[in-house]
Amino acid sequence: MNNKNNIDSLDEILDGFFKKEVPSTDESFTQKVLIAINKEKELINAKNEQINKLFKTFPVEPNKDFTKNVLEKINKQDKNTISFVKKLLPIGLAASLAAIVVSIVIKNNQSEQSPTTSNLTVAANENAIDKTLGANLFELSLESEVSLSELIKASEIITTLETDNLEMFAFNE
Amino acid sequence: MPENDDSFKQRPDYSEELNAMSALARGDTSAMEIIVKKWQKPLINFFYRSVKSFQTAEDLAQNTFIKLYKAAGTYEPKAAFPTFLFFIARNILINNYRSTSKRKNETNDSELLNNIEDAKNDLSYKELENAFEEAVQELPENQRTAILLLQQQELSYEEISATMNTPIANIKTLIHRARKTLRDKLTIYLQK
Repeated sequence: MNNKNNIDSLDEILDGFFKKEVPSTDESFTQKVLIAINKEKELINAKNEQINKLFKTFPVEPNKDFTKNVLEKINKQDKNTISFVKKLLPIGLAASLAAIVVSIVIKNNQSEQSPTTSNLTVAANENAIDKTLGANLFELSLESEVSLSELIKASEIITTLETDNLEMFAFNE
Repeated sequence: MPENDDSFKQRPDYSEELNAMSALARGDTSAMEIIVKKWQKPLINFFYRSVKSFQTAEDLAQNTFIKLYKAAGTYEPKAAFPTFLFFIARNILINNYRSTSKRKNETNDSELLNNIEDAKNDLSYKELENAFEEAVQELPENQRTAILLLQQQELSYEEISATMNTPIANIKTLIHRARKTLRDKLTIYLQK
């Protein structure tokens, strides 16, 4: 009984600790966040503008089969598509496309080998760095329509892509 | 720490947040102010208990708001607003652990909360509070997040389950283990 009383009173104290709040940050913090969000808005607008420009030159229609079409073009060594994917890389969104493409390449590669996918897989495996689930991963899942688990699979490769660009993969351009 | 019974709780009204998210999705950035003002404190409190640095807690809260803003277009009000907000917050927290795991013991603001006006300002109480902070921080991430969402943020089990993408039964286990660990570590202070 005494033990139970002890636990109850400890629980009560701990509940108080859980509810204890840090000092209010109020207006200055709010303003700081709003400024950061406005900057983010400007960055997004600039990025969208860049993407729109790029899409005008893109050889594949941005529809629901977009990723599949990109993949097919890459498998066929389509220079314009490969060049487009490379151009996307410096922009934040690029990694999501690259990740999707690469994850599908890897998946497809399990059933059918082509020189491109084979080289790509080997290169990816050899160069994948252990920085999985980095800050980009969540962002990618928000930006793309691909499930988080799909992105997790591709995450090692994303890091490689972002770090070393696509040159490291044997696209034989 | 009594077991929370969701059925007796009056669920808060998040219509203001829903309207703000819709406005954000339409490109009205000013709607963000409503959300930031209302949720900055809960978020900073949540992060502070995990990182023990006020500055880092503020930075993580800011990142959460930025992610929230960027995700406004994809938000669907199927789940309660805090579920979505703390889902983002937890991901940011996990990413922060990964990026700072090699830089341990950065800033420790454990004095910060202790400086708040405290009626029970005797030494043993302080000791207990410090031990509590340590113990919470040492909990595995999933246990700590679960118990903070329940005790500090007062989310329901259902909301915590959705936030952490984990079945309710597992959430209850995580919370039970967290409580047991805290009790085991802190009971000794009551005997002093």
